[in-house]
Amino acid sequence: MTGLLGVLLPAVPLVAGLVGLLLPPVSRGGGARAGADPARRVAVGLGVAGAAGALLVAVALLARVGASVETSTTWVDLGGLRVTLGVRLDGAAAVVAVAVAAVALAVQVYSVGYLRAGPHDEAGVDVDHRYPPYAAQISLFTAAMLLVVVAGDLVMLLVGWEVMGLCSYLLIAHDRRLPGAPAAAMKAFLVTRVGDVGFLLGIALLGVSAGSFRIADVLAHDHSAGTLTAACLLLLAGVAGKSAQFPLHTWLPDAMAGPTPVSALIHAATMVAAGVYAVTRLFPLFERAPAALAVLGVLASVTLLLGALAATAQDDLKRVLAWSTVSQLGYMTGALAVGAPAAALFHLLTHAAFKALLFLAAGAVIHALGTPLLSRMGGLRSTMPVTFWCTAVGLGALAGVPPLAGFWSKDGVLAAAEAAALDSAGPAPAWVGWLVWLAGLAGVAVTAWYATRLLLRAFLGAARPPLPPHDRPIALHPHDPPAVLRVPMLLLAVPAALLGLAAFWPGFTGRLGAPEGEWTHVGPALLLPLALLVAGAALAWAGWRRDTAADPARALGPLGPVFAAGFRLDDVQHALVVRPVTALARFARAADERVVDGAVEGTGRGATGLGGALAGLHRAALPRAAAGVLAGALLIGLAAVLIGGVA
Amino acid sequence: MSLVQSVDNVALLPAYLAAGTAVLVLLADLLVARAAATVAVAAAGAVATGLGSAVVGAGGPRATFCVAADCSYVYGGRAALVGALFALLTLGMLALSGPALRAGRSPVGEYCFLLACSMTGGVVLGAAGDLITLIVALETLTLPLYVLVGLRRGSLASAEAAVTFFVVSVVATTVTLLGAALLYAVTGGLHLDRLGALLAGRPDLLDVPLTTAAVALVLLGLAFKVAAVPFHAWAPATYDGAPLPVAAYLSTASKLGGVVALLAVVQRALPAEVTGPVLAGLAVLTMTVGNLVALRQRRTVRLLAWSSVAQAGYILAPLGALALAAGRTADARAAAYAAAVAYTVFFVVLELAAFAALVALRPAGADGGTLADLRGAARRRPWVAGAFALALVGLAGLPPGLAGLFAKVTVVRALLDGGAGWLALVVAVNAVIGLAYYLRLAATLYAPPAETAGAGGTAAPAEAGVAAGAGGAAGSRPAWAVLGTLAVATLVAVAVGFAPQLVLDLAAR
Repeated sequence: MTGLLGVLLPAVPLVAGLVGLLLPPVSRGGGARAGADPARRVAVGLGVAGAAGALLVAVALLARVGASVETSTTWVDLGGLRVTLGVRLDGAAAVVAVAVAAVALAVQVYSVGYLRAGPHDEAGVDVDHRYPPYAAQISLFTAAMLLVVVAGDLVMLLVGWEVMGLCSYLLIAHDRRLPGAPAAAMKAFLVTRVGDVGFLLGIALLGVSAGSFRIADVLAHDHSAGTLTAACLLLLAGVAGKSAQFPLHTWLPDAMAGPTPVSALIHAATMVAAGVYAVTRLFPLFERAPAALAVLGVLASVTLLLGALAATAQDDLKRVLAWSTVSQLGYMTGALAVGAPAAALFHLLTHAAFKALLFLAAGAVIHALGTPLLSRMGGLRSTMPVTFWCTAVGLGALAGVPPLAGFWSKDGVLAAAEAAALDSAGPAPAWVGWLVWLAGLAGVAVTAWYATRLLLRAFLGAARPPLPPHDRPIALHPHDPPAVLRVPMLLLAVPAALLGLAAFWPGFTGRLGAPEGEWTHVGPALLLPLALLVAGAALAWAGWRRDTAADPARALGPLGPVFAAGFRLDDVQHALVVRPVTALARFARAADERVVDGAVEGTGRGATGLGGALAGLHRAALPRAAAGVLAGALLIGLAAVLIGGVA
Repeated sequence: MSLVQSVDNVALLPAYLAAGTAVLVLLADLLVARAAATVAVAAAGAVATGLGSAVVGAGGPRATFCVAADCSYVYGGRAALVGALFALLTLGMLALSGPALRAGRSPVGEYCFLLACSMTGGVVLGAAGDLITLIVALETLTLPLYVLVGLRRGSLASAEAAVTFFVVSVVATTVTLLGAALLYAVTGGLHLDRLGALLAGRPDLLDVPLTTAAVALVLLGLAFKVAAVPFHAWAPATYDGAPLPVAAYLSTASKLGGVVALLAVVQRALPAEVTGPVLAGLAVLTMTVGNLVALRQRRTVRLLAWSSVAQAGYILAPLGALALAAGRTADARAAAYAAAVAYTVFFVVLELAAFAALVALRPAGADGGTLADLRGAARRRPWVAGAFALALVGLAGLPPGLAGLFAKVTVVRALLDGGAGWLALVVAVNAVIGLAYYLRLAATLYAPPAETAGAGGTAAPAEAGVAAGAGGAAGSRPAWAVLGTLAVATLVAVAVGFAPQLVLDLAAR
């Protein structure tokens, strides 16, 4: 029964997605008035039903699941390599599945209101949001993530992993009106693909080493140290791609070109969570490969600080959130590196709640204002109170304000890092613990700073005049969004505020596999991050007080533009990877066109030319033809006599 | 020594039947004077000849006109096969000629008589046991064709083709006869088996340059009949100038005769040490030149003519394996002969199908026209065009033309078994070149029709008379006899494509 639930979990949204793809993608008749299009109504129904069904199944699973449950049937047996179809269910999988399904449901409902002819579409121009494929792709995305969550076999996990890559590509490029969308989608696809190659190789290495792709077999097998380290490092490449770890994080900020609900889905529930989740799934392997964990720790620390610092100087609301995701993912992978997968999962869950909330709130702001730029906002608190409070809760959780969710989970990560640093408690060397701990503490301050800045710039102070292109009356009177947007926000605000308290509930911590009381030690160790939090927030507030119209980020001085550009890593990537690759591609193309094609066409031209010449010789009158025959006979006869005579 | 020989008339029955057909056709034309009756007599005679060949052949080998152990007329399994094939080809040719004869562009009686004479030569050719019989039979096969080529009334091209064909043919025959005479001078024998035994028994004869020259001359003269380079110059002009059915006969029956004659001398009489290199050289030249020139042809029949030159190269190629010592073992030789025969059978079937389809696609009595005239043929006659395309694809050696594919595979396998990998490579390269023009022709059939499709005759101003005469017939269905021939040839091609072993077994006998 539990196994059946596990199979149903990805199957429900998968069916909803596949059926949804059959709907006509573009509303017919040009009249795309929301609600008037039957295909859109069906798509809405399918999307919401799929996500709701998945949520029901996930909750039922959470209620039933006890110890780890495995079901598997052999799918193919290739020369000693067994690929199975099966699910592997444990408490962590059930909890993550609930989070994924809940966020997916919120996103599906929110999208109904978000992707309709809004107040900022030009009057008289019907914008076709192509809702049916959009909803179907979100369902598929959810299904793929749930497949990763429940997969009992590495090949199945890989299937879900790759389908997510495809769905992210399609959804990021969904908005045809944005010029940057196709490029951003391509970038997300290519960058994650680079990592996926490593992931695929890692899985192949593990499967060949263990003789089976079943996760239980792979975990139980006694791999050689070299194989294990190599496989774990290769897997980390994939994890870095999907979970936006340095140096493969560059796709995530650009992915903001996608519709805001899609950003919420990618950042909270699906894509970026998959990498962290995959590591926790295979954590017994990583525990035995300290070198891989050390690499992961370094990457995590770099990612954490890089993301946080880059978030300080962004002017785009969604990009602030995107960089904050990069930073928070650094916390999660940092927890993994110091040997605390339960803490990583806990932070993953709280992050899913507050980041989804933040994105939906940001969507509401953008929906109302028609611009994502902080420099065009301000004073929204009075006009959009619900959005303001939701954002405040989300940012508080993000920064780690007690007792909001992020405080408890971040404290869990920091405590684990502290233990690894001071007591060498983790599987990785102590210096990794120090690195993660210090980076995490610094990150707390920086996070508090940019969260405060975001709140102050967007919602407090004086309203700033809109730009001339957005000079429409509606933008002057922003208001809270309609219920269909508001309700998902409000519902997500609950876990964003309170999920952290679940750390005190043994049923929850037990399901995540955390040691008893790990995250609940309220003591002097909590004072340090709290002090840093207050310092960061106070600095930002002080900077804003001096001039409420100006950006606190001006205090960064010349570093501001560098941070805003994400440390110019995009340029580095462009110079080191993109340009050499395109140069190589040009070279290969030139070689193909000139050398290969040239040779092929040359032979073709040569053959026809030769044929023409020979045909010309044959346009002869009868006497020459007869002479030719005689000459041929004479020559061949002579040759036969001379050569044959010698032989 | 008695001057009166006992003659085995049963062995001669197929030849009697063929010759009798010719006489009866002449009489019928004279006495009944109705075209239908003449054609019916000719067709009945062809059927009788085919049946006679098969029946006599089934009864075990027979020989007659013997001097001691050497016989000039040996009727065995291969002779029966050749006889039956010639009879069938003649029958097919009569069917294809139906529309042209009805259009009155050629005298029916003479046409059928000459065809029957040619068939007689073919039937005797298979049974020829000495060089004289062989050459006379070959000439009997060829001689009526000079006239047939030029039989189209009022066509200058036709007459020109006939003269070219005649002169070049005479030169070639001279060369063969010269070779035979020299061979007789060296060995004192003319019977094929005796020559083979003499040359094998006295290796010192091979050291005499005259022997080599004689062998080469015999081969080269016979190579003319299969239109091998450099004795091919007649083929394109002759095919193009001749009426379509005659061109079909030239490229199937006449070529089959040449192959039979070549095989007879190579297999039974002449030393492989000399024939091998000559044939290998001829094969390479023939394939390469034929395919290359075919690339540039714009007239359908010329394209088919050049392609049949190239096909002759493929037929000769397995015999070229005799050039190497590895190719002269008993097994390799048997494989090479079998491959040549098998390829010939496959080729004849496919070529007949191609010409039958072309006759069906063209107006009654018209010539082959240009490739552009065939544009959009698939829209007008999808089945005929489909059969044409299948035959072309088969000639190119691609699936789904499985018959052609197996033919090429057989040749290449025989070459590889004989250690002549380089020759196999040449075959492969030529097959690739061949794809270019075969597929272009096939694709033309399915191309959208040209703007001037309605006035197809105007594309060839020289054919103004034909166009005027055929203008009404252009849209009508082709004669059932033509379609029947096409259907039978296509069915046979498909059948041997699925069961190539039938032909391969028959060829290995």
